[in-house]
Amino acid sequence: MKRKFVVFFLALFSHVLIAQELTLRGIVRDEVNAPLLGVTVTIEGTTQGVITNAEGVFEIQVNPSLVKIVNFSFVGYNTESREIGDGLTYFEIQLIPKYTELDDVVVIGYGTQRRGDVSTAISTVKAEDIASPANISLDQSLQGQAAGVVVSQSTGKPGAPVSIRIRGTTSINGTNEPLYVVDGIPIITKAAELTTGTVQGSAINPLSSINPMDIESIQILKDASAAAMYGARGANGVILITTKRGVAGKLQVNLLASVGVQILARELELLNARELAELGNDAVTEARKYYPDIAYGDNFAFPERFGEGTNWQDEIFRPAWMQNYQLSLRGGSEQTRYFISGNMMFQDGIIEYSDFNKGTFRINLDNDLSKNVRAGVNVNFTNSQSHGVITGVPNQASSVTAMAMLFNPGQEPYDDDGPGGYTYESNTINRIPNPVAEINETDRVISSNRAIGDMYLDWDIIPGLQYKLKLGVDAFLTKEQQYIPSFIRRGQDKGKGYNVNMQGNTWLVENTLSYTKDIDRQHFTLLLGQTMQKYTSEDTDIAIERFDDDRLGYYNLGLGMDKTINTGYHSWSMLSWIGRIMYNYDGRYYLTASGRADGSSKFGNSNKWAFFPSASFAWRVSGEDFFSSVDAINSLKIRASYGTVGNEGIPPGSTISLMGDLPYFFGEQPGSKVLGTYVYSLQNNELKWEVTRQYNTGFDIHFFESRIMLTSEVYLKETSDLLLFVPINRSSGFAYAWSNVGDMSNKGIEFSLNTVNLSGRFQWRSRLNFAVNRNQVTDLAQSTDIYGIPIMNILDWTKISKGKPIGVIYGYKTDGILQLNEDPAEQPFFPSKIIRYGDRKYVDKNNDGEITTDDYYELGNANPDYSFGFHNRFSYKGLALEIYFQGDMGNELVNFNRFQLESFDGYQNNSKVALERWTEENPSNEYPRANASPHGNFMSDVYVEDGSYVRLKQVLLSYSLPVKWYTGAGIENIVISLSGNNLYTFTNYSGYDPEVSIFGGSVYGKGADYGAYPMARTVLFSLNLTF
Amino acid sequence: MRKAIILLTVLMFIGCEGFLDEDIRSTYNYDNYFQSEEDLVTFSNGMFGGLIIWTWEGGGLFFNNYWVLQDLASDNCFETGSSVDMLDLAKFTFDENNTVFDHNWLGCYFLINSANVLLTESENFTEYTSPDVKNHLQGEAYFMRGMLYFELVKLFGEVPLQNFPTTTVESALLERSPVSEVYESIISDLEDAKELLAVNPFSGRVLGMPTPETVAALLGKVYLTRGALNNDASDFNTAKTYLEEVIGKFDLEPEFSDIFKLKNANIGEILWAVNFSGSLGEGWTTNQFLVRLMPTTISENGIRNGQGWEQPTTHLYDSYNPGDKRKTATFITEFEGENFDKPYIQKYWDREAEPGKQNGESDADFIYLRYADVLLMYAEALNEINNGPDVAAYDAINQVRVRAGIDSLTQGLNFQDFKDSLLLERRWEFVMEGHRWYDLVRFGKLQEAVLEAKPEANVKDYHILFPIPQKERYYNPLLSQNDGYVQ
Repeated sequence: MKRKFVVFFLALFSHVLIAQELTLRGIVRDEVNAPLLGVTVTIEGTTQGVITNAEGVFEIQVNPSLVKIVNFSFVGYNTESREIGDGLTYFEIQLIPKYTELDDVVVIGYGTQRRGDVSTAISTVKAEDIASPANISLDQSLQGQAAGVVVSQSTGKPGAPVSIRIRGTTSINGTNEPLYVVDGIPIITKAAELTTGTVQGSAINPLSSINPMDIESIQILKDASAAAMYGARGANGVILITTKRGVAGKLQVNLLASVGVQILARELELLNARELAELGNDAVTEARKYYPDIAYGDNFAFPERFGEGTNWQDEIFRPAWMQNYQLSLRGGSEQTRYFISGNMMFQDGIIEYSDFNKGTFRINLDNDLSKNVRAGVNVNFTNSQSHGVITGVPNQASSVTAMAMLFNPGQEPYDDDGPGGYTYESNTINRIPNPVAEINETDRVISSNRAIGDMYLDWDIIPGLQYKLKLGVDAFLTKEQQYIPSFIRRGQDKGKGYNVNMQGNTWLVENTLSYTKDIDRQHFTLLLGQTMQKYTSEDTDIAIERFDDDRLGYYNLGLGMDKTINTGYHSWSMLSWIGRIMYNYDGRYYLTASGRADGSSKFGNSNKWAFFPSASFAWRVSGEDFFSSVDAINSLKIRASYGTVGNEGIPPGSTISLMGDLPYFFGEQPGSKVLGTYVYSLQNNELKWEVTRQYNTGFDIHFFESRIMLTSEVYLKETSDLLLFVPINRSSGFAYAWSNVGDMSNKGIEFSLNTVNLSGRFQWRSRLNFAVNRNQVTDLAQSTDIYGIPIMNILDWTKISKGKPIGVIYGYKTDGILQLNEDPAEQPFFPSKIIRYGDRKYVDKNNDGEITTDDYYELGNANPDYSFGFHNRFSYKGLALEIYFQGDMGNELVNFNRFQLESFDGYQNNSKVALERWTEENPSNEYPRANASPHGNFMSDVYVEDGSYVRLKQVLLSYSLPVKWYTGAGIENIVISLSGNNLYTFTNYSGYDPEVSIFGGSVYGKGADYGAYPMARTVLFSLNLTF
Repeated sequence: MRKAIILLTVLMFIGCEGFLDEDIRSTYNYDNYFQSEEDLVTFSNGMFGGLIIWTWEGGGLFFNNYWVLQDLASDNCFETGSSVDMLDLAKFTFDENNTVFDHNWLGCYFLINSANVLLTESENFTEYTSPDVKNHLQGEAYFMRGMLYFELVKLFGEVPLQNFPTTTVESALLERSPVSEVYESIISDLEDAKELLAVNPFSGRVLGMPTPETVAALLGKVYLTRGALNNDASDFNTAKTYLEEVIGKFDLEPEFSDIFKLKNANIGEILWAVNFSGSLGEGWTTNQFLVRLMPTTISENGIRNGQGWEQPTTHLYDSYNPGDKRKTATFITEFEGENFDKPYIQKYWDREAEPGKQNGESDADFIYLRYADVLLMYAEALNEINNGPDVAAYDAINQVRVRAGIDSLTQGLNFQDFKDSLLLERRWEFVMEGHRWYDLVRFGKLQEAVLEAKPEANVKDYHILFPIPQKERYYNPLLSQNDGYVQ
């Protein structure tokens, strides 16, 4: 053991290999005779290897008795082999590009397969696509890379989680995110398992702990047969991430530095100070016609003395810098190989005082302990910190973007007489907090320290029989701190401080045994395995109110008077058994069958276990004799699969009736406090696993030596026993209960087309992804519809009903404005209200003379008709240009901001459309009158907008500097690049951004935009050096 | 090496027993919670706690929506805030989506379930230190349930009557029960409570605990209300009998403004109050009296964060007789030399004890029943029974008037005039105490009175009942809707 460590350390710091006798040299060129840099030259049967330099030249020393064959390989080219013999020591090699990926190795659950042998729906994203300098985060790397995989950012806040959907919305309980497995370890990706959520406004994306530059490849398992290996949690698809391994040979060093700037993509057009004052006065004048008691506000007296006023959006938005630095080292010896990387990222947000910073460090080690035993360890440390501001909550008292939209432009942010030197609140009827004070003075931070690591041991017991042991840990320590000083409005005059600490981990132990056997043309692999996983976390939450002195903030909460202290403990566990058989005959007929049994602690005793079987079949038609005459098609494979996967995404304790606590006070004032308890949740022992059955069929076809590759899939997913925390009648004493509420289906078509349009000196490649998904709720256990979250007091704007998809938007149809020449008594209106001239008219669908919810129409659907991504890469010598478009077409969104921005009541600021409101002189038929006594909010087609968009998501221009500029400096490659993200969006949507939705991926609020953090345009300049 | 691996593998498999059991350590599990007498007491404290806090919505039943509703949906107050729900209440343009009704509904039912749980668990538990403990606990539960169903039947009419704890969602999906059945349940509960609350064995839970007198007064109110609903003479008689159990047992507070002083909490004239605490509590354990009612302009040196959302109508303010001390105690028109353009309500502000309160968080309680109410109810019952006031009736109302510093009622009024005087007296006495809309409905004067104070109000005859919350009807399709509202 000790000897091995010594060797290991020597290997780390020296490039010198063991005693050699022969030197091999050579030059490698490509199909146009240009020298090829970076070609891997390996000696077959050993782990020795070197890489060609910028001249295409290599040199390697070998023991001739050990060596017979030299291989030359390079990504994208056919591998060449040469025999060493007869004193041949100098090689001149020419490599021909290959376009096929059939020999690529694909990571599947618990193993690998040659892509040509894969019989299930798996999309692969390669390192060079992931590690593009334009991608700062892992989720960005996945956008548009695979058909049927939709990455949507619901907020532009730096560091915030994004939402990824594979093949539509499978589940409705909010856990629609796929399972992420890093080097075989499922990691924690639910924000609720990493933070308590006490501190609003900041969020750290659990995926931000994984550095994109560390990733070798990503496999997205889309169909059930592929995902069945992860059974229990594979219902929403599985994303397998494999990190880079060390390579024996010369040390490779890679350095990347990027600097960039982000700016707000668009500003809303709002009224200025004078326009709002005029509107406010008009609103009162109009309302007094019917309610003479309404008084004029002092704030709008003498509108002519106002000018433009304050542009509150400018006050809170700013161009924001970002920087990203990355260093990686890769090398090793025959016996031990390493990959080490470090990364630091600093990203300011476009709203002042919001930012996200992180540092990660990774070390991956592989060690060959003996001929039959290999072991290794991967460790990833991340420290991240996010300062946040609150946005996107349906309550404008907290969201700073809503505050900036609605604050009276007639007021200034700063006021010497105001508390803390700020204007305290808006002087309109709707008292809005000052967003500048909120941003500058409120301190809100989440910091996280996280370690993800695993150890593995592979033992080849006898030839063909392999045992693997895997131990993994994902451990974290998160701190959430918040301080709201007493002098800003949200502090409610008393100051509030919070300090929350949460620590926990999830650990995993996995044993697998696999047996491979070849008999003639038949190839079997048998796998058996067992996994145990447990998650525990503990948190300490301190909330203190009433500070007389704000200066020390959350660092000294002891200064506050009202103390609330809580602690919590959470845990869940899972146990699983896996079996799989893979068979293929002659590389033409493939058959795979697998079964997985999962047990979860979250379900009651009779429902703890569930079984998930799957099977798949593939036929490589192009391998048949009758096909050999078809020249145009060099590969054709037809696949079909069926599988079941499960979902147990409920919090621990959901089947148990839990108790909560409430205080009360008896006695003379102020009374003595007593502890009280109450029943918090209903018991449900019947609650069981949600199960999805998926049928998939597809084909992969390659034309013209793989210059054109087309993959197409058709699938049907049926989910039953959907788990949902469903609202129930409150006469029961409860508001919600967990239940298996019904069934849902998703069906769709995907295709992915990769073409090499031009090759030669000037190259052009394209990739087009296209997906259509149709979702439908096929059954509900209860006889009534399930209603969404009320926004602006409107409860029934969306609901889950049998026979319809999730995300249908309901509301009234409008019918113009009531004009002076019409009779109000003839106009159907809401029964409790009275219509006046200048009010909106609504369509009385059922002609009963009243406007009620019976007159609701289906106004739209938040699901897109189709999604696509279109990627093009042009290159000429060292220059490359990548352009990527992405879009969703045919979805509708509700722009809830407009309820307030078009309120026309003088209660808050409005958008410029207020200038077009109905008046007796300007009898608009589109916008209603100003009215200081408003009727209330009603969902109608006014607020439902087309959310379709096509976005120029990324443009990347890179230049590989000519070798002769830096020969001799020891540098192998220098690439500079300029990239832009979110440069332009083609859309009819009037809000900040059509991709935002405040409920993230929640199905209850799909398609709602309310005060979200807008997205930014980003421009990045990067420098990438390889040594 | 080989042996080590085999051992490791074996160890993995051994650790499996109990591995999949739920591990809940920081929350109580209902199944094993009730193990001692103290646990039942704690649970009852939680039942009271729901009066001031409710987990899903923040403030409990009496936090704000209960008493704001009564005075806004009447001739007493108008709304100046931006909440359309409140504005609709004041203008009578509200509908079944209004969150105030929703809040009242769930505030009551949350506690009804707690009461049902307490009754069941206290019945199942056997190791009491004394029978008084069991009796009193059950008395507390019966009182709570009876009181809450009384509130529900007044607000909504027919309501689902559930006198068992909810164990499954399906078991709680009930139809609305007829009003008569609800009243029978209320009366049965309150009669039980009156017996069972006789002996209070808990020394630390006295002030703020309902007593048999509290329940007697409440029963008086129940019978009075039902009597007026059905025009039933026997109910008025029963009301009189119950109220007589309380008459003479209490005294009116000599000074009207002292009723609401913190030092007089739970004593003197007060039969039962809901105890809030601003100074001891965390979060939502205070009421919203000062925040909603006190004006913004005195934030510097008085109550901070006052919003002045509900203000009295001119009609109310001008209706008092000159010299009525209740007018000066209830309203505030100037502060430190600055005059307000309209009066605000300062009834709940104890200037001595809480001269300047941060965030308007006051320790003031919500008084549910006080002796002045008992006297006026007594006079009302007598008036109904005798079809005109008798000596005892005059005496009762005059006690209240004299305390307020105005002249006694002159004798010789007929039934209707006396009844009108009672309505007016109640209006002056109980501003923002959660009485007005109930009183107007009971006296049959809702539309008439509202239109006098607010001519542009959209008040209709069916507004004698509020609509069943639409949200609740979405979740329970068995619920029908009251007349006049969207069915």
